[in-house]
Amino acid sequence: MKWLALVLVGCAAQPIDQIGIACTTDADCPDNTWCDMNLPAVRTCRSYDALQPPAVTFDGFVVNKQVVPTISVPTHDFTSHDFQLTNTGSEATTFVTITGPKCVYAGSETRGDGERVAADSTFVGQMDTNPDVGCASPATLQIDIMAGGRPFSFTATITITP
Amino acid sequence: MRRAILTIVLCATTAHAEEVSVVAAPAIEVVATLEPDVAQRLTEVERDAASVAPAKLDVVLERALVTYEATDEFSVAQRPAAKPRTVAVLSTIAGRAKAGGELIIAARALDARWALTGGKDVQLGAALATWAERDGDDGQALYLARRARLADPSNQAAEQLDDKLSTNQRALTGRLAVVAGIAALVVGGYLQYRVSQIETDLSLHPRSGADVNTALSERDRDDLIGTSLLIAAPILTVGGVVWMWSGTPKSNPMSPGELPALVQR
Repeated sequence: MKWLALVLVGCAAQPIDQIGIACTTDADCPDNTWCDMNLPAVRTCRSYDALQPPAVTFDGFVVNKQVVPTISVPTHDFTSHDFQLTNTGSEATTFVTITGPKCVYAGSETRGDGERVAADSTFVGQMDTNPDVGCASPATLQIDIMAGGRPFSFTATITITP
Repeated sequence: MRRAILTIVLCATTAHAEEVSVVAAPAIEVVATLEPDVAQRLTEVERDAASVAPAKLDVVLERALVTYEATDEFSVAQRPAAKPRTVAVLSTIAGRAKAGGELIIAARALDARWALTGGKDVQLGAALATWAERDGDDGQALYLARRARLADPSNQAAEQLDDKLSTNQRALTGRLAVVAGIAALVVGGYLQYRVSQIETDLSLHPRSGADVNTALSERDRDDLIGTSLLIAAPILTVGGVVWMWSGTPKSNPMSPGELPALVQR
């Protein structure tokens, strides 16, 4: 019956985005498509013409509503700081992990089940630090972002003030 | 006296027992002879048949057939006697008309001769077949071809023309087109089914990009061919039916005014 319906329609081939080609990585997708891994249970290939994959960049820290590349954090004091991400692709569930020298005690305060970062938008998240006395300054932080199943890595430098 | 009576009775008895045989008279032989006026007409016809211009031979032909077209008892009685000379003069008319390019007059003369003699007539078959080939009217050509086949069943030209005019020349190609249309529908439907199968398979199982590209190429090829066949299917089927229908012989055999040359009543 299905084939008869297809015959009546006349043309059975569907666009790539409607097929829902299963994939695990971009390498599993045909030319000019990418693997949408935003929902781990439903990973399908999407064409670049229809949708762009998430592309997240770490813009820097937000201080007084200004984005700056680095910040100073006090020693032996638990402080919270804002940082900004920009997503130039499609909406993505984003996980942010911040690591640095152990003595800095740096960590991300974003949601453990991921933040929804809309397409072509910025996102401001929080991180905290609590450096030990004598911790080397400046310290380099590793910022690992997993947006829509895609990894993005950045580094940022902070200054530890006595 | 008694003896005389006995003798008479004995003789009478004996005579009664024997069969009486009577010698029959010879059969009356009817000798068919031409009446003077019929003979005179035939003589004139023979003379004209040998002398007048070929284009005028139709008049001579009509005169030669007077004895056979008239229905009065006198003419009917003269037919057997007149037959040999009439057949001969019809042959003469046919020969001269043919030589003079008067195909129809020649065919009529041969047709009349055939009506008188019956049997196979190769000359008439050839003349009618030639006439049929030249006649622009399909109905008349069909009549001529069939009459030519009656006169000469072995005439190939007449047989071919009869077949051509009375059978659907487009039946075979039309049927082939219909069958091709049905085949295109089946194959096209199958290819479209394969397209959907490939897409379903792609959505179920991840594989390498190269394999996906190969599967999509196969799908696109099947889709192109399948869609083309599905478009062609109704065109071929309907076209085949129309083609066959358009080839149906539309003409019925129709005798030209000149034939049959002789109708005896």
